[in-house]
Amino acid sequence: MKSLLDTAAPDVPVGLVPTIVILPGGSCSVFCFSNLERPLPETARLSDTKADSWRARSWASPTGYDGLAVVGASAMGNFRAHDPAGETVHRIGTSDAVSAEAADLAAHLLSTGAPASELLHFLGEALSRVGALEGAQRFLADLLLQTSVADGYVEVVVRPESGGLFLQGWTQSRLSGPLNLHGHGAGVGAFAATFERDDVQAPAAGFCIFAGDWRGQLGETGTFFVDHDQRLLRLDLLAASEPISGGAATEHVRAILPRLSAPTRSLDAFKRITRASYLGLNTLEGYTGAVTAAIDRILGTPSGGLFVSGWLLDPLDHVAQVVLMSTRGLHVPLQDRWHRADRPDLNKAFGTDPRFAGLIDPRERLHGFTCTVLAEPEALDGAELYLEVVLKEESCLFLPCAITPCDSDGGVHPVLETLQPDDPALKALIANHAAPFLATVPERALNLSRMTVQTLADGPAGGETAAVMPLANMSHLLPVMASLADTREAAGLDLVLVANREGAATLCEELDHQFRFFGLRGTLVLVPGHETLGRRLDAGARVARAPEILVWQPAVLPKAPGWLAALRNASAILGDDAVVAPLLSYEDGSVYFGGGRSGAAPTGAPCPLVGFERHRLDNTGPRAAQALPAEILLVKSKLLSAAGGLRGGLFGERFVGQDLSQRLKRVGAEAWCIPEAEFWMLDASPPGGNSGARSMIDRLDAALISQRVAAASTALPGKLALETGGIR
Amino acid sequence: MKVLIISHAHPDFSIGGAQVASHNLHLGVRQQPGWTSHYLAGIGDPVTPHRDTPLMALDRAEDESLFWSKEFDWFHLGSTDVGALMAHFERFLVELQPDVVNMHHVMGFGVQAIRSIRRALGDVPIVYTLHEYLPICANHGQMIKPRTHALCQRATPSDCGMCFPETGAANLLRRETFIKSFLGQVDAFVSPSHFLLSRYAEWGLPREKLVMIENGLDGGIAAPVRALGQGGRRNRFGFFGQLNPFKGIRVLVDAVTRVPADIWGDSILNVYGGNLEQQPEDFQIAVKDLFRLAGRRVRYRGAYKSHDLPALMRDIDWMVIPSTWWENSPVVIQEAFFHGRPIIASDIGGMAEKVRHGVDGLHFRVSNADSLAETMTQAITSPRLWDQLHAGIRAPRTAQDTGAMHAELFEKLLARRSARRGPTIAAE
Repeated sequence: MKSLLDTAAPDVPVGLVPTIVILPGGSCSVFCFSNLERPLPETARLSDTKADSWRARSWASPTGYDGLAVVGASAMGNFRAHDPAGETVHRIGTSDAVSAEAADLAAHLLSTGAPASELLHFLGEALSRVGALEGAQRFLADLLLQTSVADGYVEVVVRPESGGLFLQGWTQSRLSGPLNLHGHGAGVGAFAATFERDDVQAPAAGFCIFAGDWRGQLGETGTFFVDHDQRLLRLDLLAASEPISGGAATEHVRAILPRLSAPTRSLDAFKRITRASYLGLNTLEGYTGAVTAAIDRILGTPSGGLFVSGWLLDPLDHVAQVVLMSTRGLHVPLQDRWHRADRPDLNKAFGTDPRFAGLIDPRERLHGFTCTVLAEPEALDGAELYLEVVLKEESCLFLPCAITPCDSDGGVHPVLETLQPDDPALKALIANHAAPFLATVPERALNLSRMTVQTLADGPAGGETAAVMPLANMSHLLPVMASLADTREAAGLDLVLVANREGAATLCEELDHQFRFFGLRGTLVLVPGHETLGRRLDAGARVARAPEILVWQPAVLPKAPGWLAALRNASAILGDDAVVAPLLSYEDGSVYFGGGRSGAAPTGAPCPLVGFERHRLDNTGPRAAQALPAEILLVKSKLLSAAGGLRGGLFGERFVGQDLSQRLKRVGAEAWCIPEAEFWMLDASPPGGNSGARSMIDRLDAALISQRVAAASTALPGKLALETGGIR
Repeated sequence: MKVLIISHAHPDFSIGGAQVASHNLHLGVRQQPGWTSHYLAGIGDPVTPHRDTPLMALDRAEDESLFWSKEFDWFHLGSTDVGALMAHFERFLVELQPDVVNMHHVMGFGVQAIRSIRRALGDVPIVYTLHEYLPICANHGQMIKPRTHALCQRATPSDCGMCFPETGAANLLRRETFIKSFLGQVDAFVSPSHFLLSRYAEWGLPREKLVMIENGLDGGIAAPVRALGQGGRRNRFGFFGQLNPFKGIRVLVDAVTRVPADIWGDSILNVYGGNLEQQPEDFQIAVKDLFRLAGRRVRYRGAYKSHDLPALMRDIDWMVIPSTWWENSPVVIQEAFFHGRPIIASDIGGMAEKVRHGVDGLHFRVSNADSLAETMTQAITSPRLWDQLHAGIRAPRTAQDTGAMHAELFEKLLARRSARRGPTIAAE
């Protein structure tokens, strides 16, 4: 059986002609391709068309590759697709064959041996992303019928008290473990188990399927579909009978449970049906056994990110599961993924509690836990959230929980406080919890009312270019000002300095003197001290309001005048999408930034040649670059805005350049090093001076960038990682 | 024509080679036909400044002024108050309207004062007189490795970063960039030694701007040669200077203890110098131990004043300058020569340049007590050596000589400026 390919886009332009274009309904088109030399790019930016998105999947065939692409408009072809790196351009042609029938798409899938179940899932997601899912429901239902294989029957339908859908019947295939259950449209996560029946002939067997997140109406369908072993199986509902519900439903499931055979997690899902239900009460607090737990805080973001921190005291190991649940289908077993933390205070606090007296081992301190859950917003919207503590003897305890809204990165300090440099599992905590949650936090807008803006000397001249410069150390600014004095750069630049508001009582006056002395013009922007480097730079750029922004940190010093003209000239020649930076070298003559696209740059460095001798680079003409240095770069303000500004939601400084480079690249910008302009790169702190806290923040930023890169490069960003609400 | 001579301190308040040399120059230029001079010196605590201005007068001289400062950025050699430079120093310049400005040191004023001169006076020629290695070396301008006290041969940010790892090469490059941005506005650099000039040329100052002019000395009346009795020997040695680790007093006293008793005889080393109590404790202990070890061979006479020198020189045959750093053009060399005393000096830097081995003095290997002991033995035991070297001494330049040479330099710079201006005016 063939599988979907996760192959990087080719780097050579190719003319692509679809074999057929399908119009599934809604404002979108599905382009089918056959006999490709290379896989299609999974995502692309389009030009020459009104369509604004491209999502594609490819699969191998004896003659190369086949594939299909969902385009976010009723486009018929004749446009260009650019891969995310912005380098490869695919010319997409037109097809003589156009159809609105699911049968034609099914024919394409079946004739090419496509993994139908995965492609249906992909189609559902892709159509949803372009807002065409609703209009294409009928088409998708037809496609399910056309691409599935009849495999069995549903004989009993149960609606458990705890919600969801329980199906029972028999199939030719033995269904067991997690699978997707489809009605008419996109599937939901479900679990299956088999049981032996005397009335069907082997290999047929009885089955039970439970989909906790099933929200469809039973009357909508007489047919169910499950994907199994990369095939779509059709299960027809036998003569309609009333679903079993209420207490009878629980009893039905309880009766069949002993006969079921499936992996443990799947069986747990069935057991869950028979357990007590949450009635909005805190049953944990009245429990008299040696188990207790609490939630310290649940931060929740608008997109469904939850950052859960709490603790569980269970000295006798009675607890089987700790599950975060909602009354709208969220079901997340925390103990499978949580990060444990030292909470020695609980030993003391409960040492004299009659429930725990004599049971607590003072050496055991890992009672705390932290866990990030990425939930579907619908699973939280208007729902009650609660913790379900499942005991090994199968009873459950409930603890109602509340979500503290985290609508912007201004509210994330509780997350940062959980990060401790001496935590031996810090790497996992960052990668699995802090970064995934923080990636869902919306960045708060710049609040101009929290800034103080003061003019320096005669104030800005309102020129083409404003240099935005964060100011942390006056002694670093002195040589910058001295090297600017009486130069053409000084005449052509408005300097926008951004400094901490705290401790700046005399700063404005001092800078005013310095600016007058050196013949400079500009502005001082004072911001709260906790603002990140990126937000400081953005604050400066906002105040500057110049068509071009020169990001310039005092860590770099020009070697000779004339650099600004060199950068501007190069920028003008390279075009509006060019972002340029001078060549940067250390005081020992080695390169910090010299451009170059081949080779891997060390973590955080903008250039694969970092540390090599300067003489390896010549001074002739622009050099394409993988990334840009945050220390200095010249960018059009419009381009910067399109990339989302300088801040990027990072917390430290080290990865600002890397993050910005990637965001600029996503909007089509190209990075260049201009060797005719050369600066010294003066490290602020040697490696040994990096504090544990700073190193921790750097790790967090690196993980955040990885999250975003993964989200940007996958065809289905974010969604696949979400807790879909079904039992997992 | 009027020159403004700027010194970091006034010799009436603070004795030091640079302030003496700059003040002598002020006096010397005044004697040149067609030239007047104004002397502006820095001053600080314990003098109390005025509330509204750092400018002060010196009531005993009409053509001398003072500029009060307190805070100073030693790392950058910079002023911490450019507001005061703009409000007062530049106001003073505009009012005085000198034709040439000659800076000696930037301490107190800050290296930014060079830009202030440009701001206030446009393209007036600026001459900067180099007295040590402060712009080059962050170790008090001595070009000595701070930990090992070894002689430094080359200053680059990377090399200096090893001397100051806590500062780091990057900040040392910042320092160099900052200082050079101002020195770049200077028209000519004067140094009293070729050695110093060569160090600045290696550091990157344009060679065509570097000029060597000796300091001028106003030595008063020369001390007579010490009278010898029957069978007497030229065996009275003198040390004049600060008792700090770089002036070589330890090497000298150590050497004295190594000269065999039968050779040393009734020889004496007279030590004139102060400030031992301000030195690091381990250095003080080591010097005192050596003094004890040397016993009657060494006579510690304490600090001295310039005007005492002729009298003190009467009891000296040889001047010993055992400095373990490069020196530039120590005034004590000129003073010794002015009084006709041959010099025994370390064989490095400004000392090796100014003292000609076998002509007017003797060299020994720097920091090497054995070498110095051998040289002193030679001085004691060679009856005609002193006479020979005494005869080879050339009189040092006077303040008037130096004034004339400077006036000539200033006039060249003014002529060059006129030449620059000419075509500009024609073009306009």
